[in-house]
Amino acid sequence: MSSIKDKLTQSVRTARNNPPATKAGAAPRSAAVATRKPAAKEEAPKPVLAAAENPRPSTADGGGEPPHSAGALFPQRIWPD
Amino acid sequence: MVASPMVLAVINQKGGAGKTTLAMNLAAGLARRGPTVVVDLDPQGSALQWAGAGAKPYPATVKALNGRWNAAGLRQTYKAYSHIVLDCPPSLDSHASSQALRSADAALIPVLPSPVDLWASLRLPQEVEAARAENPGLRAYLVLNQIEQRSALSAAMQDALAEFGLPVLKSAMRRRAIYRGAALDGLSVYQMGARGQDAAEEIDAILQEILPS
Repeated sequence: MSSIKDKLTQSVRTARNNPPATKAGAAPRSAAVATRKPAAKEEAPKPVLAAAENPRPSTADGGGEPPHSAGALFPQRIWPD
Repeated sequence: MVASPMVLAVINQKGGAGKTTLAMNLAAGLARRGPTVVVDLDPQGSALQWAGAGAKPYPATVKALNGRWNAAGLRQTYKAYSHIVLDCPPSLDSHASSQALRSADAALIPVLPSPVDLWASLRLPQEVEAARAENPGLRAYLVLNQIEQRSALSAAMQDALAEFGLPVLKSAMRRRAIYRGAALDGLSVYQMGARGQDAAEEIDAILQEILPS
Protein backbone atom coordinates (compact mmCIF):
# COMPACT_ATOMS: atom_id res chain seq x y z
CA MET A 1 0.00 0.00 0.00
CA SER A 2 2.67 2.48 1.04
CA SER A 3 4.79 1.43 -1.92
CA ILE A 4 1.94 2.24 -4.31
CA LYS A 5 1.49 5.59 -2.59
CA ASP A 6 5.22 6.30 -2.84
CA LYS A 7 5.40 5.19 -6.45
CA LEU A 8 2.43 7.30 -7.46
CA THR A 9 3.71 10.38 -5.65
CA GLN A 10 7.18 9.88 -7.09
CA SER A 11 5.79 9.48 -10.60
CA VAL A 12 3.90 12.77 -10.28
CA ARG A 13 7.04 14.51 -8.99
CA THR A 14 9.08 13.13 -11.86
CA ALA A 15 6.48 14.13 -14.43
CA ARG A 16 6.25 17.62 -12.96
CA ASN A 17 10.01 18.17 -12.76
CA ASN A 18 10.64 16.78 -16.24
CA PRO A 19 7.77 18.18 -18.25
CA PRO A 20 7.99 16.27 -21.50
CA ALA A 21 4.26 16.82 -21.79
CA THR A 22 4.74 20.38 -23.04
CA LYS A 23 7.55 19.30 -25.36
CA ALA A 24 5.46 16.40 -26.55
CA GLY A 25 2.67 18.87 -27.08
CA ALA A 26 4.86 20.76 -29.50
CA ALA A 27 5.92 17.60 -31.28
CA PRO A 28 2.69 17.01 -33.17
CA ARG A 29 2.95 20.50 -34.64
CA SER A 30 6.37 19.82 -36.10
CA ALA A 31 5.15 16.40 -37.11
CA ALA A 32 2.23 18.03 -38.84
CA VAL A 33 4.59 20.33 -40.66
CA ALA A 34 6.72 17.33 -41.54
CA THR A 35 3.74 15.51 -42.94
CA ARG A 36 2.76 18.51 -44.96
CA LYS A 37 6.11 18.61 -46.77
CA PRO A 38 5.84 15.13 -48.29
CA ALA A 39 2.29 15.98 -49.26
CA ALA A 40 3.64 18.91 -51.26
CA LYS A 41 6.18 16.61 -52.87
CA GLU A 42 3.47 14.16 -53.74
CA GLU A 43 1.73 16.90 -55.63
CA ALA A 44 4.82 17.58 -57.71
CA PRO A 45 4.25 14.70 -60.15
CA LYS A 46 1.11 16.39 -61.47
CA PRO A 47 2.96 18.97 -63.58
CA VAL A 48 5.26 16.20 -64.74
CA LEU A 49 2.28 14.19 -65.88
CA ALA A 50 0.86 17.25 -67.53
CA ALA A 51 4.15 17.83 -69.28
CA ALA A 52 4.21 14.22 -70.40
CA GLU A 53 0.85 14.71 -72.00
CA ASN A 54 2.01 17.76 -73.89
CA PRO A 55 4.14 15.98 -76.52
CA ARG A 56 1.08 14.28 -78.00
CA PRO A 57 -0.53 17.44 -79.28
CA SER A 58 2.84 18.78 -80.40
CA THR A 59 3.49 15.71 -82.59
CA ALA A 60 0.02 15.96 -83.97
CA ASP A 61 0.69 19.59 -84.84
CA GLY A 62 3.98 18.66 -86.52
CA GLY A 63 2.34 17.58 -89.80
CA GLY A 64 -0.11 14.81 -89.21
CA GLU A 65 1.86 11.59 -89.95
CA PRO A 66 5.09 10.94 -88.12
CA PRO A 67 8.10 10.77 -90.46
CA HIS A 68 9.09 7.32 -91.79
CA SER A 69 12.34 6.22 -90.28
CA ALA A 70 13.30 4.46 -93.55
CA GLY A 71 13.17 7.72 -95.47
CA ALA A 72 15.25 9.41 -92.86
CA LEU A 73 17.88 6.67 -92.80
CA PHE A 74 18.09 5.99 -96.59
CA PRO A 75 17.12 9.23 -98.36
CA GLN A 76 18.58 8.08 -101.77
CA ARG A 77 16.78 4.80 -101.95
CA ILE A 78 13.62 4.51 -104.07
CA TRP A 79 11.15 2.32 -102.32
CA PRO A 80 8.68 0.32 -104.35
CA ASP A 81 5.08 1.39 -104.09
CA MET B 1 -29.76 45.12 -7.43
CA VAL B 2 -29.56 41.68 -9.06
CA ALA B 3 -26.72 39.49 -7.79
CA SER B 4 -24.26 38.30 -10.39
CA PRO B 5 -24.52 34.56 -11.08
CA MET B 6 -22.01 32.23 -9.49
CA VAL B 7 -19.80 30.70 -12.17
CA LEU B 8 -18.37 27.20 -11.75
CA ALA B 9 -15.94 25.83 -14.33
CA VAL B 10 -15.44 22.09 -14.59
CA ILE B 11 -12.13 21.72 -16.33
CA ASN B 12 -9.38 19.25 -17.12
CA GLN B 13 -7.31 18.89 -20.25
CA LYS B 14 -7.59 15.11 -19.99
CA GLY B 15 -10.56 13.59 -21.78
CA GLY B 16 -12.68 11.09 -19.89
CA ALA B 17 -11.91 12.55 -16.46
CA GLY B 18 -15.61 13.02 -15.73
CA LYS B 19 -16.05 16.71 -16.54
CA THR B 20 -19.52 16.39 -18.04
CA THR B 21 -20.69 13.91 -15.40
CA LEU B 22 -19.58 16.25 -12.64
CA ALA B 23 -20.91 19.38 -14.41
CA MET B 24 -24.33 17.90 -15.13
CA ASN B 25 -24.85 16.54 -11.64
CA LEU B 26 -23.50 19.67 -9.93
CA ALA B 27 -25.85 21.76 -12.06
CA ALA B 28 -28.76 19.54 -11.06
CA GLY B 29 -27.84 20.05 -7.41
CA LEU B 30 -27.53 23.79 -7.95
CA ALA B 31 -30.87 23.86 -9.76
CA ARG B 32 -32.47 22.85 -6.46
CA ARG B 33 -31.11 26.10 -5.01
CA GLY B 34 -31.84 28.46 -7.91
CA PRO B 35 -32.07 28.77 -11.71
CA THR B 36 -29.03 27.11 -13.24
CA VAL B 37 -27.59 26.92 -16.73
CA VAL B 38 -24.96 24.51 -17.99
CA VAL B 39 -22.89 26.14 -20.71
CA ASP B 40 -21.48 23.44 -22.96
CA LEU B 41 -18.10 24.69 -24.15
CA ASP B 42 -17.00 21.32 -25.48
CA PRO B 43 -17.27 21.01 -29.28
CA GLN B 44 -18.31 17.39 -28.72
CA GLY B 45 -21.52 18.73 -27.19
CA SER B 46 -21.77 16.00 -24.54
CA ALA B 47 -23.78 18.12 -22.11
CA LEU B 48 -26.31 18.99 -24.80
CA GLN B 49 -26.57 15.33 -25.78
CA TRP B 50 -27.01 14.36 -22.14
CA ALA B 51 -29.86 16.83 -21.60
CA GLY B 52 -31.55 15.72 -24.79
CA ALA B 53 -31.24 12.00 -24.12
CA GLY B 54 -34.23 11.44 -21.87
CA ALA B 55 -37.99 11.47 -21.96
CA LYS B 56 -38.10 13.43 -18.70
CA PRO B 57 -36.64 16.93 -18.56
CA TYR B 58 -33.16 17.49 -17.16
CA PRO B 59 -33.56 20.01 -14.27
CA ALA B 60 -31.23 22.78 -15.54
CA THR B 61 -31.02 24.65 -18.82
CA VAL B 62 -28.22 23.55 -21.14
CA LYS B 63 -26.84 25.91 -23.79
CA ALA B 64 -23.91 25.82 -26.17
CA LEU B 65 -21.54 28.75 -26.43
CA ASN B 66 -19.29 29.09 -29.45
CA GLY B 67 -16.98 31.78 -30.73
CA ARG B 68 -15.15 34.35 -28.68
CA TRP B 69 -16.51 35.62 -25.37
CA ASN B 70 -15.33 36.99 -22.05
CA ALA B 71 -16.34 36.99 -18.40
CA ALA B 72 -18.47 40.13 -18.60
CA GLY B 73 -20.29 38.87 -21.68
CA LEU B 74 -20.92 35.49 -20.10
CA ARG B 75 -22.42 36.99 -16.97
CA GLN B 76 -24.49 39.40 -19.03
CA THR B 77 -25.82 36.67 -21.33
CA TYR B 78 -26.86 34.42 -18.46
CA LYS B 79 -27.77 37.07 -15.91
CA ALA B 80 -31.20 35.49 -15.43
CA TYR B 81 -29.58 32.49 -13.73
CA SER B 82 -28.21 32.14 -10.22
CA HIS B 83 -25.57 29.61 -11.28
CA ILE B 84 -23.59 29.09 -14.45
CA VAL B 85 -21.78 25.77 -14.81
CA LEU B 86 -19.16 25.69 -17.56
CA ASP B 87 -18.46 22.28 -19.05
CA CYS B 88 -15.04 22.85 -20.58
CA PRO B 89 -13.43 21.14 -23.56
CA PRO B 90 -10.58 18.66 -22.96
CA SER B 91 -7.90 21.18 -23.83
CA LEU B 92 -6.24 24.02 -21.97
CA ASP B 93 -5.14 25.77 -25.13
CA SER B 94 -8.63 26.66 -26.30
CA HIS B 95 -10.21 30.09 -25.96
CA ALA B 96 -13.12 28.48 -24.08
CA SER B 97 -10.93 26.93 -21.36
CA SER B 98 -8.86 30.05 -20.99
CA GLN B 99 -11.94 32.26 -20.60
CA ALA B 100 -13.63 29.74 -18.31
CA LEU B 101 -10.78 30.09 -15.81
CA ARG B 102 -10.88 33.86 -16.18
CA SER B 103 -14.65 33.95 -15.61
CA ALA B 104 -15.17 31.42 -12.82
CA ASP B 105 -15.62 31.94 -9.12
CA ALA B 106 -14.51 28.35 -8.66
CA ALA B 107 -12.89 25.76 -10.89
CA LEU B 108 -13.39 22.08 -10.25
CA ILE B 109 -10.86 19.68 -11.68
CA PRO B 110 -12.03 16.06 -11.72
CA VAL B 111 -9.17 13.58 -11.59
CA LEU B 112 -9.34 9.83 -12.01
CA PRO B 113 -7.28 7.56 -9.72
CA SER B 114 -4.79 6.73 -12.42
CA PRO B 115 -1.15 7.78 -12.87
CA VAL B 116 -1.79 8.65 -16.52
CA ASP B 117 -4.56 11.04 -15.56
CA LEU B 118 -2.37 12.64 -12.91
CA TRP B 119 0.49 13.20 -15.32
CA ALA B 120 -1.87 14.63 -17.91
CA SER B 121 -3.29 17.12 -15.41
CA LEU B 122 0.01 18.58 -14.23
CA ARG B 123 -0.31 21.73 -16.32
CA LEU B 124 -3.51 22.80 -14.59
CA PRO B 125 -1.97 24.49 -11.53
CA GLN B 126 0.06 26.76 -13.85
CA GLU B 127 -3.03 27.62 -15.86
CA VAL B 128 -4.97 28.41 -12.70
CA GLU B 129 -2.14 30.64 -11.51
CA ALA B 130 -2.02 32.42 -14.86
CA ALA B 131 -5.78 32.97 -14.80
CA ARG B 132 -5.54 34.48 -11.32
CA ALA B 133 -3.62 37.41 -12.77
CA GLU B 134 -6.93 38.50 -14.35
CA ASN B 135 -9.31 36.73 -11.99
CA PRO B 136 -7.74 37.00 -8.53
CA GLY B 137 -10.81 35.58 -6.80
CA LEU B 138 -10.58 32.25 -8.60
CA ARG B 139 -10.73 29.25 -6.28
CA ALA B 140 -9.63 25.91 -7.71
CA TYR B 141 -10.14 22.43 -6.33
CA LEU B 142 -9.21 18.93 -7.37
CA VAL B 143 -12.08 16.44 -7.12
CA LEU B 144 -11.42 12.74 -7.03
CA ASN B 145 -13.64 10.85 -9.44
CA GLN B 146 -14.38 7.13 -9.81
CA ILE B 147 -12.83 6.29 -6.48
CA GLU B 148 -12.95 2.59 -5.61
CA GLN B 149 -13.19 1.73 -1.96
CA ARG B 150 -10.85 -1.24 -2.00
CA SER B 151 -8.33 0.08 -4.46
CA ALA B 152 -4.87 0.86 -3.14
CA LEU B 153 -4.39 3.29 -6.00
CA SER B 154 -7.51 5.21 -5.03
CA ALA B 155 -6.30 5.39 -1.46
CA ALA B 156 -2.90 6.64 -2.61
CA MET B 157 -4.41 9.50 -4.61
CA GLN B 158 -4.69 12.02 -1.79
CA ASP B 159 -0.92 12.05 -1.22
CA ALA B 160 -0.16 12.19 -4.93
CA LEU B 161 -2.57 15.07 -5.46
CA ALA B 162 -0.78 17.07 -2.78
CA GLU B 163 2.00 17.45 -5.34
CA PHE B 164 -0.29 19.64 -7.46
CA GLY B 165 -0.35 22.43 -4.90
CA LEU B 166 -4.12 22.79 -5.27
CA PRO B 167 -6.60 21.90 -2.53
CA VAL B 168 -8.33 18.54 -2.84
CA LEU B 169 -11.99 18.37 -1.87
CA LYS B 170 -12.70 15.97 0.97
CA SER B 171 -15.80 14.85 -0.87
CA ALA B 172 -15.26 12.63 -3.90
CA MET B 173 -17.29 10.79 -6.50
CA ARG B 174 -17.16 7.05 -6.19
CA ARG B 175 -17.22 4.72 -9.15
CA ARG B 176 -20.94 4.09 -9.53
CA ALA B 177 -23.00 2.74 -12.39
CA ILE B 178 -25.76 5.17 -11.51
CA TYR B 179 -23.75 8.09 -12.92
CA ARG B 180 -23.71 6.38 -16.30
CA GLY B 181 -27.33 5.35 -15.92
CA ALA B 182 -28.36 8.93 -15.26
CA ALA B 183 -26.55 10.07 -18.42
CA LEU B 184 -28.30 7.38 -20.41
CA ASP B 185 -31.67 8.62 -19.17
CA GLY B 186 -30.75 12.28 -19.72
CA LEU B 187 -31.19 12.95 -16.02
CA SER B 188 -29.17 13.69 -12.90
CA VAL B 189 -28.55 11.31 -10.03
CA TYR B 190 -31.08 13.37 -8.04
CA GLN B 191 -33.81 12.06 -10.34
CA MET B 192 -32.83 8.39 -10.11
CA GLY B 193 -34.81 7.63 -6.96
CA ALA B 194 -33.33 5.41 -4.26
CA ARG B 195 -30.69 4.08 -6.68
CA GLY B 196 -29.24 7.57 -7.02
CA GLN B 197 -29.37 8.54 -3.38
CA ASP B 198 -25.74 7.80 -2.45
CA ALA B 199 -24.47 9.55 -5.56
CA ALA B 200 -26.74 12.54 -4.90
CA GLU B 201 -25.27 12.77 -1.40
CA GLU B 202 -21.78 12.84 -2.90
CA ILE B 203 -22.73 15.70 -5.20
CA ASP B 204 -24.39 17.57 -2.33
CA ALA B 205 -21.24 17.14 -0.24
CA ILE B 206 -19.12 18.58 -3.07
CA LEU B 207 -21.48 21.54 -3.38
CA GLN B 208 -21.39 22.20 0.34
CA GLU B 209 -17.60 22.37 0.22
CA ILE B 210 -17.46 24.85 -2.65
CA LEU B 211 -20.50 27.05 -2.14
CA PRO B 212 -19.99 30.14 -0.03
CA SER B 213 -21.54 29.58 3.39
